[in-house]
Amino acid sequence: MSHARPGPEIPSRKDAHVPPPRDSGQGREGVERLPAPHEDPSRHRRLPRLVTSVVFGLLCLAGFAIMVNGLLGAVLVFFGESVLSALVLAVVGVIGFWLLRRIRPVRPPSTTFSLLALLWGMTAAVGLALIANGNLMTIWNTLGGLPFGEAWGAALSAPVNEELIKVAGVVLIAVMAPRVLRGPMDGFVIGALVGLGFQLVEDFTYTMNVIPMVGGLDGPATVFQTLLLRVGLTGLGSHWAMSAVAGTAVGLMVAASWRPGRRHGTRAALLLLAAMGVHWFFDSPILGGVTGTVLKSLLVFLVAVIVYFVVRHTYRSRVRRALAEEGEELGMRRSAAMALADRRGRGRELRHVANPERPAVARRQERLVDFAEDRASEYRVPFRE
Amino acid sequence: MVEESETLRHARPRGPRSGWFPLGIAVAAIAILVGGWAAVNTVLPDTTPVESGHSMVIATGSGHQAKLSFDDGWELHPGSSSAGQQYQFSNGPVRLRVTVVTPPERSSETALWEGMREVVRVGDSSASLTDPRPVTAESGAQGLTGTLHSNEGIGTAALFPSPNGGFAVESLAVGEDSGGDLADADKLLQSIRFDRTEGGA
Repeated sequence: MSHARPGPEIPSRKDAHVPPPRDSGQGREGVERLPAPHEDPSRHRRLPRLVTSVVFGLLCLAGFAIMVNGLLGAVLVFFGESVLSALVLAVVGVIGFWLLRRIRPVRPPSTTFSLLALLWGMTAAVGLALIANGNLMTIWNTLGGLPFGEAWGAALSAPVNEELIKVAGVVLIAVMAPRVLRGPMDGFVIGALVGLGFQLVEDFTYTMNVIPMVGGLDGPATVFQTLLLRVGLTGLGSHWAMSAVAGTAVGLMVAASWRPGRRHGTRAALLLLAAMGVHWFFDSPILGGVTGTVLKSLLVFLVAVIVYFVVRHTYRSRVRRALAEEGEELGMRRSAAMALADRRGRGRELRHVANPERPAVARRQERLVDFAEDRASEYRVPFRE
Repeated sequence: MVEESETLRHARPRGPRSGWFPLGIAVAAIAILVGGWAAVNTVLPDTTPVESGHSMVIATGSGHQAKLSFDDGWELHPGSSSAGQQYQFSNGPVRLRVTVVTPPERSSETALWEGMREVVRVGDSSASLTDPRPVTAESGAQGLTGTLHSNEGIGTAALFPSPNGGFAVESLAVGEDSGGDLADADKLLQSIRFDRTEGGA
């Protein structure tokens, strides 16, 4: 039975804050308290956020303009094919968006910033990367010759340009919304959403580019085949996975307040290099053919899955411990408090409460989880085993 | 664990950086990637001369390879070219774009021309092709040619399917004036030949 309900032992407060902790006899109360979850940022924090928001918006607009300029002609000429492609990708996008938000343990990330992450990937990242890739490919073609550029140009251009520009969006979101991106787990999910947006528009661009490559004939079949290949065959280990790994690096930096020590700095650098490395391998001519491409895609997926489970395990452990700590301070049973760490647990606890009380209990659960996530993500919990 | 958390706190004695630091890093990275490569390109040549008499393989597939033989004055634009797919050449005021397409099986020349009519409108909505007429290259390769009309001027278009239809070479040539200076491009396209490759059908 849930102890997270309104009752005599946990008086409700009008300011919607969880009551202060009871004296545990350790003399630590008040020392470790975090700011209220929705505390207004001070002025010196607001200005960088405001400027970052403006930069974010301008870069999204620039990227969108670049993509419109590059694709409008093809869309107008092959309108039916572009609608078909957009519809299929919209379905993929909705499913991907839901899944990637769902994989965040405890709670899904902010809807607004999830959408902004997707937007960055779909506009700024893809548009700016188009310019950067075009220029770098020209350099490889000029210095190494066309055959070299054809074989290695993508592998030597896209991992650097695309991964860095995508992850720059994760950095901007971390500055704009420090409470949305507080650690590696948030970085993974926000990075994955940026990558998903990038992948959707890149897939659309590919479908529009492939039509002229088959002579402008049989457009719908060409679109379908291209999407089958890029979504069905390699979609599992594509941009979402690479950006998730790179986004985890940003999460590590955020957790260290952008001032990582040697250990965190090295880990963040290795994660970013891993994202770029698997991207390089995917784009390289090594292991060509359909089988090779599928294997490379699976490797990208595997790397993302490993990073995900490591980060998820750490994060869940911290949240559960933080909940246990909070629960103890509030007089909750340890198991009931820790059960709030996942959606099912919260639902189960709610089902034990009478219907009229459920909204209030749900709000209390939210506040507890808020605090637990604060504690967990900022390494401030005096954990006890 | 208490000690560990305290260690983590004490590992950051200088306190958190403000948002300006990551913002600056992100903007600098984007500026370098978008502007830096463009700056490098400004010191590299835009074009690479194509040796006179050089025979360039522009496409390979389905047991054949297509070659073009160049006269004096032709230059390749590496930035707008991709081996085996698309080439941008110029010779004085003449610009020639050669594209290799892999059409669906059993596509006729006429169907390819109709497809080409659509594709030329992607880059320039005012572009249109006249009805095609047959053309034969010096090597005997059969193809179609026609005139390209657009707001930018007049040009010529041509297409040559490979002997077994596995791929086709399409070209668009435009000049500065009314099309009178396109003879060099026509001559280059007349040089197209399809040779069998080893193991080809």
